[in-house]
Amino acid sequence: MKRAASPLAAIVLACASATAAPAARPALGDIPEAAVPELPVLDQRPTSITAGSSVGDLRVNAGPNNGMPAPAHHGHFRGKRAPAPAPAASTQAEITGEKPENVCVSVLVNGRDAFRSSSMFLESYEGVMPVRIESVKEAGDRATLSIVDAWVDPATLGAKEIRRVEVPLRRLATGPLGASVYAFRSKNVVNLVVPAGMNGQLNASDGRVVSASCAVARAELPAERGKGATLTGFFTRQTPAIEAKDGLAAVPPMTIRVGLSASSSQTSRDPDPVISVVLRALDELPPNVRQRIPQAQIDE
Amino acid sequence: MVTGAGREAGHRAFGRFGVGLGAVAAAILAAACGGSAKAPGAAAQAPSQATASARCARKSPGVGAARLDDVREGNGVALAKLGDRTVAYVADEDDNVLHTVDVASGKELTTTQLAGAPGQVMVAKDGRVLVAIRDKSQLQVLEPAAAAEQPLATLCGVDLPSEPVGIAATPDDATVLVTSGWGRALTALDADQMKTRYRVPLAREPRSIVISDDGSKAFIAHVVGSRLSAVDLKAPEHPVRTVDMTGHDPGLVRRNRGVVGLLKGSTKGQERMGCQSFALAKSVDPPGRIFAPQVLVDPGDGEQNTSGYGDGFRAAEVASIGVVDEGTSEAIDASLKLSANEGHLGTQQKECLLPRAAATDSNHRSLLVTCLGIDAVVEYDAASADPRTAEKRRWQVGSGPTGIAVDKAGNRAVVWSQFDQSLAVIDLSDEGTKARPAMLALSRKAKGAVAGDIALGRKLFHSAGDQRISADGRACASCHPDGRDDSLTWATPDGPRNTPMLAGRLGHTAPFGWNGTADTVDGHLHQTFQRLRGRGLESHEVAALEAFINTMRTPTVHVPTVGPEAERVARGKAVFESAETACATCHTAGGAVDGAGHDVGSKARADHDPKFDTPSLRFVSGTAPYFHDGRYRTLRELLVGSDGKMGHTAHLSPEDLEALEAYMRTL
Repeated sequence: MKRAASPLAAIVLACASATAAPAARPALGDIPEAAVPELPVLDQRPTSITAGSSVGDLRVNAGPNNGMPAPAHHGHFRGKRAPAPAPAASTQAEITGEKPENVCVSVLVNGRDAFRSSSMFLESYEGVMPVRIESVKEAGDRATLSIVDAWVDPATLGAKEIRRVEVPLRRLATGPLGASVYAFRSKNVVNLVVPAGMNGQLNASDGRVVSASCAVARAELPAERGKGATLTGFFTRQTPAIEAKDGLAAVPPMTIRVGLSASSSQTSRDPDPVISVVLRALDELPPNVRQRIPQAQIDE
Repeated sequence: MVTGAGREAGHRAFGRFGVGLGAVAAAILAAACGGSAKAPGAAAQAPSQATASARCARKSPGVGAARLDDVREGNGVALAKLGDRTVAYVADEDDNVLHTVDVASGKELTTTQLAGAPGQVMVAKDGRVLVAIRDKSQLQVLEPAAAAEQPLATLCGVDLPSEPVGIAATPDDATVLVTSGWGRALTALDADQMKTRYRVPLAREPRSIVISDDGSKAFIAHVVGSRLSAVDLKAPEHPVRTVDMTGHDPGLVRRNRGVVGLLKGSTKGQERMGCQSFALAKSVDPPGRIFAPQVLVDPGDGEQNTSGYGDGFRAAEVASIGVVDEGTSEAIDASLKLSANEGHLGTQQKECLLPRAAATDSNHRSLLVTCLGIDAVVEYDAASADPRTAEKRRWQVGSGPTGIAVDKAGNRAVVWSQFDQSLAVIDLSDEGTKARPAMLALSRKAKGAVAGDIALGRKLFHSAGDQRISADGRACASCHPDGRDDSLTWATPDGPRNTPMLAGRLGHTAPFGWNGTADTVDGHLHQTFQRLRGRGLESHEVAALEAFINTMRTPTVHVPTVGPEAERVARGKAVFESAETACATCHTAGGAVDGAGHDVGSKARADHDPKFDTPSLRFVSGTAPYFHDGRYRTLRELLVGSDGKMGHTAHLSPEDLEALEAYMRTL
């Protein structure tokens, strides 16, 4: 005796919650070789920069805390102590790009670039400081990482260009809401470049944590036979603004998190390190927003 | 940690091929892994001839469906091609049948009665269908008919050590390999006649097999023990190498003991034991990677009293997919290392804590894993160093997905869900990303083996991510895979507690718990849910859970009736029941229990109560390590080490100890 099959009942049980589009298949050889120069050391800095001198792409304005007294520990966190005694009042400079949401500014801290943010504040008691501003220009499967290094004098708000570098990038993966991951490589280290949002974090398998809180997140992915390296975390993307239409209210842009999983690994049979990059949405869009954004735009 | 020490000892001793210790080494390895040197049902290490011979060969060569895509690994589902038609052979362990289904139309074409409950099914090169029959200790060899609508004909049954489960064929299709779960063995059969070529003892609970592309090694998953086995198929003695699948968690901060502990802690983090490794899959693109879906377990520090099972500092169980380099037989570090910021993504998706079947999809460079408990198929990037973090898509399927096969040309996956007895066909194309799988309910016998309360109990037992059962997503089956044990010792409020086997051990063994604190199973379950910080189940659900546990399939124990082994068992029985050893004083006839607590001098630092309830000895040979804190790795260690505290056995002659062990293996 057999019970009759009931496909209809079974279909009711099923539901799908598939997420992102399949990952691209990046190969190490497809990734352009390039190098990003080190930021100059403080010993090379000029004593001052003339007021009014400027660098294209860099905006230096007076910061909101102009005239505040310098703290007792001034200079400690920028790698070199400022000349004592501290000035009674400090001049503050805010450094950013023409569109803060499109750039990432970093300064030299203890010999390394850090504190990446869409804008950065410098105090005059720290003296002239080296600043780097990065942005990504996307063009299909290719992109360019633009780097401008400059000296900035917070006292005069003057800036002097050190160098400009254009780093060619190759797209490795695409994800929801136009998210992309690009890369260049230097020897066997893959340098991931992620046009990111204003909030995020990437965790490397060696314990390093990389901020993804400005327009360009960068992280290294070393490729070593047998071990493998991973980079996991998230960054944010925004939905497009939805205009009021057919009696439905306008919806401002919403921020969603995009999960990133990247890795390199090389087994005994891999001639080159194998790169994997997967992007997927971590947050569900509310149905009323999802229905009003073209699916292709969400899946991009 | 006792189990870790055993594993490491095994790893040190047999870390490389070519050690030259051969089968003897492998047998010792099996012992070091928590079993005796002789596996149950594999007592005769000299290969016994199968009942097979020429009748296992095809009667009508070339007739009927043929193998699809040269898949040489068994699974819960196997695909075959008959003309333009793709058919799925589905191993149904509830009804002991093989369903034949037309994948495109979803029509069930026929069912073939099997000799017993099937494990994996595989289609051989010549179209024969091989099915591991778990409860009959046989490989059933079937021949397809000209029409797929006709049931398959049985050619022969090949006797194997207890509980055959996993099947694979070598790349030249000359040899078929079968693992025996309870029998702890790998048997190599001549693919044509199905005669036994050789047999290799393995560690506890072996399951799926994949074979390297060059045919030189077989990789075998083990449900417990934080390991894979890599068996050298070319060397005459077929040495076994242990592939360490232990994870590392830099986010776990725990008191490390001694300089070695400090150094280990500072470089790699706390160890997590690999468990739930039922399935294996081999990648095609990139080639040479073996995927081992598992979970990484932190059972807590047994020297501390905790508020539940484990210390609750980090998730006790974390999904993992170990990636093993086929060439070096070593895992890629990154695949076993958790992030210090584990869980920072804060996704709402439930983890795959009970992986059961796996397959690769070379069209999409993907690994597909079926997950019990969350009833999902998860697709991962097969090129990732840590596929667990590289999830691409997931699909909901019927309850209890235990089998999966990929139809490359059809760009689809066929998934068998045992609990619902349903088949899902997943469109793997990019366009299918958003599509619901087509679901087909297969026929059931009117008096199926699993019905009513037991079916509900089975689902509850495997329910992962269910807040009623645990706050952190653990299922009953997390610690009791297949109703057995995880071989781990957990930190608990009462002290260290070795997980006991449940299947076949609940009846007439009250009170329950190591200290015998619960008079009923119901009471013990209530305490367990509390310790897992679960909200608890309704009373009818608890009853269903108990009903399922009481009817779980038990291993088939091989009891020799004639020959030297039978004599040894008889002698061991006499030793067991003698007044001198006094084993039977507490472990009454046949390894039953006296229902009382005893202080056998085993109180550990974190124990409150020195008295422990007499445990059942049923299936004792397959449940190492022993004692409430897992202090003894083998039966022999237990018999010698516990002397004077629990009977007297250390003085026995080697022959009597061997006989006593032989008897205990039959319980």
